[in-house]
Amino acid sequence: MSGAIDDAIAVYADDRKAILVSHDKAFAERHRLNTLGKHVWLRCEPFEAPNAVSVHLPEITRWLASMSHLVVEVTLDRVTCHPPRWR
Amino acid sequence: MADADQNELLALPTERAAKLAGVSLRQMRYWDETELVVPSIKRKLDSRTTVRLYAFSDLVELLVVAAMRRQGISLQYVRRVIEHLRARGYDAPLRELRFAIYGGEVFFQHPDGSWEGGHAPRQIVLPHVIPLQEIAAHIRQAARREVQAAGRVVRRRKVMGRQAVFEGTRIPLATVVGYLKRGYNTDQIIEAFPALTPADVDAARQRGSVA
Repeated sequence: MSGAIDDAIAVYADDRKAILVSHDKAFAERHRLNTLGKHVWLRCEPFEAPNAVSVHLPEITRWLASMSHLVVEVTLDRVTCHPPRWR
Repeated sequence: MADADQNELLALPTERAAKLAGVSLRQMRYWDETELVVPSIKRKLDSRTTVRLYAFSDLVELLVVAAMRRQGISLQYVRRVIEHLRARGYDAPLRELRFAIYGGEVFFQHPDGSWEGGHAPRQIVLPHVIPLQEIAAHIRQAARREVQAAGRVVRRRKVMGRQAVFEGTRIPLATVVGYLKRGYNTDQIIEAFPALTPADVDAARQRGSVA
């Protein structure tokens, strides 16, 4: 699946009950409009990601456990949950 | 990773599955619509977009059917064989049984080793058996990044917002350039991104003007 298009990656992850983690802004913004599965959007530089995730991990996991479909936006400062617009 | 684990994780989009089987997209769609070979992951996202992903077991079925077609077996005949085997209690005969083609006839081997089908099953000889192990290895190989993709950077519609990525991956060029600018060497980058090769890192070095 490594070279697959964004939609295929989202469908595959949801089918496998996996959480999609990416830095990709375009992907995250599109999935906020048409949410499928669980997506963590790391809105930071790749080098900042370990720090951002470790600081906010409890909140991230709490949001991920709360819904079947959502985008969790993670920055160094905060975590924001975006539920599906169709919810 | 063990083959069984790799098989479990593997899935290919329609285009790659078609290329692997050597059949057209139109044939793939027709076989899906007529439930001959159906992708186990199929999701309609909107009125224009349906994602179809062929899991390992779907790909085995696909390649067995494609092998039969290449040897001149008609779709009608393939369907008759499948219907017959389903009636005999096999849920997924194309991947549960071994098949062989000889003289325009399809033969199949039951789990007890006995062969059935055609008019003269005793004529079966090994070279005519569709080699399932080879098919499985072929599928695993096809799921890997192509060797000739190393060092190539592409932009693709619907992939990472058309950012430049290394061909056959979703790893952005900009990410690797960022690692290089922070002083990471080739080995460290490949450790962080095992799908990449030294040729990819060299390409990033050139494109990012990093020494």
